[in-house]
Parts: sequence; C-alpha cells; structure tokens
Amino acid sequence: MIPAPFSGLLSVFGNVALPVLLLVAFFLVFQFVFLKRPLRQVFLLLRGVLIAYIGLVLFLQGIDVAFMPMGGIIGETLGGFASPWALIAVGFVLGFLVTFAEPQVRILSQQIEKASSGFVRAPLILYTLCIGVGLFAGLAMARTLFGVPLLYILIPGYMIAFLLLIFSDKNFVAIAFDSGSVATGPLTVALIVSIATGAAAVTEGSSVLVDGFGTIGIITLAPIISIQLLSLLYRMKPPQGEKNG
Amino acid sequence: MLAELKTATLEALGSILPLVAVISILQFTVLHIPTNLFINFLIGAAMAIVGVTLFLAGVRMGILPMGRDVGAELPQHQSVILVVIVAIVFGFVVTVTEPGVTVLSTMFTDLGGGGGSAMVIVIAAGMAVLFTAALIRIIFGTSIRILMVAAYGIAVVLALFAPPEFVGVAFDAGSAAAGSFTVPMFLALGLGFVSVMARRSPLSDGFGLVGLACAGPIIGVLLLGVLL
Repeated sequence: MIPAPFSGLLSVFGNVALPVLLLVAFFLVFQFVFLKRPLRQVFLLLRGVLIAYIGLVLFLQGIDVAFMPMGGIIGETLGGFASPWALIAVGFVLGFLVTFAEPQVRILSQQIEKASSGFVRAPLILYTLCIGVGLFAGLAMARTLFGVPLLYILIPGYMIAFLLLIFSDKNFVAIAFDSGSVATGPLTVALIVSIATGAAAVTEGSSVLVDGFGTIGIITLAPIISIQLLSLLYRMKPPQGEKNG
Repeated sequence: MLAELKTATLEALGSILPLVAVISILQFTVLHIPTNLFINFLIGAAMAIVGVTLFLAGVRMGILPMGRDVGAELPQHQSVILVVIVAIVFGFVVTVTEPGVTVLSTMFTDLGGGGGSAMVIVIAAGMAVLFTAALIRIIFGTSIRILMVAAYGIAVVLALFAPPEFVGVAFDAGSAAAGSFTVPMFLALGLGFVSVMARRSPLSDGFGLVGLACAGPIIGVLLLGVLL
C-alpha cells in the first residue's frame, strides 16, 4: 500500500536530471553568446538551480511514496460508502488543500502580485484558485461515481470559460489560462487523480481506463473559470503606467 | 541565501501541514491503515516539506532570475527569427525530456491506447509551436482573448472527433507538459520579455505563455487520435 519512504529515490534523481541539465545548457549557451554576465553571478544562479533540483526530487519522492498511495486508499475507502457525498466533500477539501500546498501556485501568485505592482494581492489569487480547484475536484469525484462522460463536463465548461472571456477584464485573461496549467501541478495530479482512480476501482460500472484519465482536464477548467469570475467581482483599474506606457 | 531558505521553510510548512492534518484526521476516523504504514506516509510528507522548501528557495535564486534574463534579452536583437528559433528549440527540448510526459505516454500505450513514441513527439511539438506563437503574439500585440479562444476552441472541436480514450489523455498531456521547472521559467521569461518592450502590460502581455503553450500538447494528442 504505502511503500518505504526512500524506495526509488535514486531513480527520481535520475529522471529529473535530464530536463534540468538541458535547461542549464540552454541558459549557458545564451549566457556566453548574448548575456555575458559576470561569472560570479552565473555561479549563484547555478547554485539556485541545484538547490531547486534537489528540492524537486525530494518533493516528487514525497508525492510518490506518501500522497499518491494515500490518495488511492482514500478513494477506495470513501468510494465504497453508500452516500456519494462523503467522497465529493473530501474531494472539495483535499482539492482546496493540494492547491494551497502546490509550490508552483505560490510562485504564480507572487509573480502576479509583483507584475501588478502589488495591485492584485498574492493571497487573493491563491484562495480563488483553492476554492475553484476544490469545487471542480468535488465535481470530478461526482463524475467518477456517476460515470458521466468527460465531454459532458468539458464542453459546457469551456463554453462558460469562453463566454466569460467576453466580459472579464483583459488583465485577467492571460492569468486565468496560465493558472489552469499551473494549478495542475505534480501534487494535485497525484493526489486527486489517485483518489478518483481508487474510487473508480470500487464503483460498479466505472472503469479505471475511462474514468482514470480526464480528471486533470476538469481540474484545468477550475482556475480558468474562477479567475475570470474573480475579475468580474474585482473590476480592476489599469496598473499605473499602463495607459501612457 | 539563509534568509531565502528561512522564508521558504515557513512557506513550505504553512502550505503542506494543513493537507497532512486533514489526511491524518481521515486516518483516525475512516481510513485506519496500519500504524507503520501511516508513519511511512508521515516520513514521505516530511520529505515533501523539505523538498518544497529547497524548491521554492532555489527557484527564486536560480530559475526566476534566469528566465527573466533570457526573456529580457530576446527582443533586444530586433529579430523575430531569433525568437522563433530559440522558442522552438527550447519548447521542444524541455518538453521531450519532461519525466511526466514520458510516463503518461508509456502508461497510455501500456493500457492499450495507440501512439507510442509518436505521443511524446506530438506533445513536445505542440508545446514548441504554441510557446513560439505565445512569444510572437507579444511582439505583434495580438489579442490574448482571440488566441486563447482559437487554441482551446480547436481543442474542444477536435475532442468531438477524436476517439474517447484520447480525450482524457490529451488534457492530461497539457498539464504533464508543464513541468515544475518549465512553469517558473516560462512565467519569468514572459515578464522579462515584456519588461523591455514599449506599450506592453505586464499582466495582459507578460502572462499567458504557460496557458497558451499547454494548449499545444492537447491539440497535438487529439490530432494524433483523429488521424490514427
């Protein structure tokens, strides 16, 4: 059920190494052809990347040995309950909390606060995403239990997202779609998908093959819709300097 | 560096402990898994907290400044061709090596879906093309609304014609392609890019790279499904 904490750690180190090395290689080529920063500065950047690499490996290992197997257990246990509401409610709460925990969501919120010169506060984006993903994670659980075809959710979902595009503030459109991809980070995917798959495994007439895939597509919709709704509530004035920029 | 690590430690603890707390409540109320396994879970969760601490600190010290520097340098050569070449190569290479993409393609093929190695290629190619489009649109000032509707609209229309098993995996591919290093790199790159261009808003122009680029893998996989 839950594997030993350090099993497979070395292979995670190996799997993540290639994209990091390529990223560094790309930067170094760029550095020596165009940027020509002092070597001391390049060294500090590379040290940062190394720290981030070690951090990502431990984070992914923690997800693999702790959160993913736990998600499966939660899905199998609650999926077996007579009432569907237990799984839906837990889907909401855990959807909220994984978004709260996802490091790339933090980075996105902070970058938005910085880019808007403090006008759009990071916690506002963070909590909007948490509530949005929570609701859609609940929806994804309901879909698994009742065996609703994916397209029945994706097509109306994107219709709503496109309709909101007409009304929402221009400044939030790009952020909304970025959030859609950012909110489906490694922790969210591992925990929410494994709960859904676990529930599908114990639900009659539900298949892991059909219902296992697709949960992420539903979760991606959550930020796109919730950030645009936020922009309707939060009619934003253009940040200083934009009009005459 | 120490100040950076201290901030990140508090952030990591504050962000992951609530999740661990709720899972612990579930353990003692409904799950009741054996104690030794639950201790393994707690060790794994502690590892994730240390990991997030180092990841957040390292991204702020390394990845974000790198992305910003590269982004701010790209438009200064007045060459769209340079931007296109860098974006295509970078977009393709980081996606093709992304472990999540390989895992997803292998899993899908093992479960009996078609595609195989073609899957990895279409995901990376889709990412490269739309990442390039996302940068070019900043240069020409194309409306982000039109591009997002076009990209995700094509995806939804293709979803109607693709075999059902490709629909789920296509949307999963969109998120798998946005790797943990790619996301902060793209975010910072976009903001760096607009910082040196006149009449560009950091919010509506600087963002959008990740969202638009991720439509690429979705469209790529659905096309593969339609054509196969």
